Amino acid sequence: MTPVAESLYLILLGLAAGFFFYNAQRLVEYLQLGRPDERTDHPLVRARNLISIGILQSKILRDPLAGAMHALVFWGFIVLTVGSVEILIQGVAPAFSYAVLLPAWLYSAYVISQKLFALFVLGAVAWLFYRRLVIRPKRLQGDKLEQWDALLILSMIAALMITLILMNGFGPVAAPVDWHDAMWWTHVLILLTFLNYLPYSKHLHVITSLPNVYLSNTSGPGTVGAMRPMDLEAEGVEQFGASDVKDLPWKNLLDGYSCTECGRCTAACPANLTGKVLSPRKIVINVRERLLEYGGMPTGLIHGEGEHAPDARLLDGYISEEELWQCTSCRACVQECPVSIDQLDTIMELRRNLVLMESRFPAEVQPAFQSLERNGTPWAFNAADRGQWAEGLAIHTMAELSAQGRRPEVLFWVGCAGSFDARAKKITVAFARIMQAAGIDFAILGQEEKCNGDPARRMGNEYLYQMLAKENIGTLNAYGVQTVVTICPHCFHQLGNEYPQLGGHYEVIHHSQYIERLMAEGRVPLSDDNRDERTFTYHDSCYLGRYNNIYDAPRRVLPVVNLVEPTRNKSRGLCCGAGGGRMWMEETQGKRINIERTQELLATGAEAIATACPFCMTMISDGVKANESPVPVYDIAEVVASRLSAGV
Amino acid sequence: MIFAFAESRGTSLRKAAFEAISAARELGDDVHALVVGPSGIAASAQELGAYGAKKVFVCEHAGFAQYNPEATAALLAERVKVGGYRAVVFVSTAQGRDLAPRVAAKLGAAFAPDVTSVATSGDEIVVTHPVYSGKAIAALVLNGAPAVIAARPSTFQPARTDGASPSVETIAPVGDPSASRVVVTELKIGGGGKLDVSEAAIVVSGGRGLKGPEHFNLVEDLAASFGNAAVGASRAVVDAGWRPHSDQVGQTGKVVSPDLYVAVGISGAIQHLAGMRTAKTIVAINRDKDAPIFKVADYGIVGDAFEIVPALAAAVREARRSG
Repeated sequence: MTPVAESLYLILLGLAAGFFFYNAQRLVEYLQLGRPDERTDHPLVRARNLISIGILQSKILRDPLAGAMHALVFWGFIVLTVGSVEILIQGVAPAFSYAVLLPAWLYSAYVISQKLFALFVLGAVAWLFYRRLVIRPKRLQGDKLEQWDALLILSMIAALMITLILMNGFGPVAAPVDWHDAMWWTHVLILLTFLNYLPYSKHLHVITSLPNVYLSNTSGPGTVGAMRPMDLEAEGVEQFGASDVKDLPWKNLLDGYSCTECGRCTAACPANLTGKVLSPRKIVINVRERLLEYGGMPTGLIHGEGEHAPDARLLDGYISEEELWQCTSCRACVQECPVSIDQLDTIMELRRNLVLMESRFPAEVQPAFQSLERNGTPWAFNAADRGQWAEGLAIHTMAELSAQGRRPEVLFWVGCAGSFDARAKKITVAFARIMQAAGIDFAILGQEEKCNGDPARRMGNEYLYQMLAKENIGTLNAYGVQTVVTICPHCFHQLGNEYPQLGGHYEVIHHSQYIERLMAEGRVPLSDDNRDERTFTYHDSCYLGRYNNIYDAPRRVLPVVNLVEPTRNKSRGLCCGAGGGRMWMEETQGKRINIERTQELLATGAEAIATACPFCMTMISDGVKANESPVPVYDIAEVVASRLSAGV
Repeated sequence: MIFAFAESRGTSLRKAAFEAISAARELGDDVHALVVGPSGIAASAQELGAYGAKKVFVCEHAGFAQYNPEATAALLAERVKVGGYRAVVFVSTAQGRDLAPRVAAKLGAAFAPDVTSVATSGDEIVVTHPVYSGKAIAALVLNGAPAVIAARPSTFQPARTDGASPSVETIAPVGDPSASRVVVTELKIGGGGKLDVSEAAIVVSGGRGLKGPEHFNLVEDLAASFGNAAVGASRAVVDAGWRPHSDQVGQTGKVVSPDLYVAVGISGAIQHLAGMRTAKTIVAINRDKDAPIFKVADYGIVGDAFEIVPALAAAVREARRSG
């Protein structure tokens, strides 16, 4: 290289690096506009996430073909970045090569890796072009700008690979045209352009997604779905929940940078699937868009979704109330996101602001709030009737046993549906019969039980939630309760995973796990002669499955011969539509979620449907009726109870 | 002396005006009333006298053509203060619920809303009002004078008296009513003339058991047979688009508490029961004898709605004719 060319190269390199760091520093500054958030705990869990979700691409591979193509490009990038460093150094020291640092065999391996991965990436990019332009999956359909952004990035990657392959193919030769030199220059120029294009593109994710995975919520199965603790009595706090980006924790803002708009979240969202406006992808894009506007960065090709007024706050300006209330809190979006974005956390923080700060919520929610406050149940039923289902069944309350100085082995937490809903009461009785048959020493709270607070919390009413939860914790602690079993996944999740935030620590077991345990211990006397010959299908509850990783227990306890799976199952299961307080709201837009889900379950051809949640029971039963299908819906406990030996 | 606010709309009195006087008369015979309105409202003063007001203050002003919360409250507060009344009585209508607390605040007086009975006990005024969705009755002693009371609507029945005509005094407003900071620009009357399920004394509701929207005529006919009954619907049929959402009875629709509730072809899911289980008498008609609706029903008929409902409607008509 001539001295002029060398100086030119150094100037270019300096400018490119300088501009990139200028932008990077701005983006980091914007993150600091958000609320503090502790994200350095559990380093080992974080490292494990980084390796499995980040490096090994476990979540991207949930879509096998597109995932494999992405993984090739991603791994190619890692391998080729090593080569890029060598190439950039060669700009100032043409004679430099890793050969001087590495043993010969390793250097040969390195050379081969560079050639191979350049081909792999080129192949994958060709397929990705084909997918964008010909296959055109629905989840990738953004606006025009997004299309161009994506195609430009693919083109740049393709050009990088082609110049790399050509450069390696030509040895340095003398004039007239030094093709190696020409390819080197082209490659380096594209590389530096690419680097500086990133902060202006959704492709920023190549830089932020690994940190985003490392910094994601790490509390592990169960508490990972717990909502953020909120100190309602904190001095000086003037804002509960979030109405704008400054009220969101900084990690939620980093989520915005890390989204590459793949649409996996929205494609799995039950609300979006059934024709509603909510799109978790849009929520994340809106956070990024608003943050850049709020921070003052010219947006360039980082673009948004939906329309907004200039300098409008995040809530109302970008994200409507309507979108927020359509969420069922099913966690499908969080489950699917390949870079561990927490869309649900942002939605819930916005809902909290709506209710706690602005008292805005659908009118039909008011009776539920009111009843929770007055009667301790979202439905207007008399608190005194809570234990009525147990009359004549020889079931004791904690108060009765306590008066005799007895403390039972377990507390059966019945829940509101199990106490008041005629259909769910049958589940309650079935599970109580199983425990009685197994000789379990248990009691109920009866009148002293109140709603666990989940509906209030998910509907943004943290104040009402904490009131209910603290009362329940007081009652449970007064009786010295240690082990709780429940038939409701929402009660299960609250008592086990969210009550610790308020000082309630219990071993909480869902009835599917408990029945499984009792069966394994041989304590459930089942008769062999009336085994159910019907074909069953099982509908996963979100709060059991995605929230708590309980997929197998309910399937294993089902004493049936034929169990068929719906297309969407386990961690991909579709919500019944009742979560997130949706049970107490009207569903007016698009198709009803429970009907969609029920049709999926009926499409298996099963002769009976099993559920493990009283809310799923309501929604799926309604769906079956609406489809005018004769297929019965049972709770797993009812199926087990129907096989108890005679005489118990 | 007891003061009663006579609610009006335009130049005519509302039923609440007479109810307020009835309630006031239970606290004392010397009842004075105030009516405000646009020019022409003065003509109603005699009518207030016929229901027991001894003295009627009238304030006519163009600023009172629509409900005028600020000017009305200011006038009321001044009149009550000047007159030294023991109590001032409103009715908990939309207007009364807005006015009574304003007046109480201006007077620094004790206030009891939604009152179902009033009594004097020595120097004290004792009122009752329902709490916890009507599950309990609270008795309140109102200290100090005046006491501000808002009576539950339709609780104190208007009763004509044969007293002499009242003395009528025309008074001037306090300040300029046209200059109020709050201006009612429009009054929209909802409901389209149809009887609202949440207000009707008798509600007949239909559910999925009717098999199709075209069969709702059975339910409508049964409602018509009672004379003035409203037609409700379960969530399932509203979701299915058979009926409008305004007819929906249940947790996420209207919560009703009529004297008589007839559920036709409704199984009684918890979401429906939450909206009607406090009805005084519940009649359920369902094909499935195990339907949860029968658990809350006072009378249950197991069978085919298509046979039972027309027969029931004929029987109701017959019973009303004969008696």
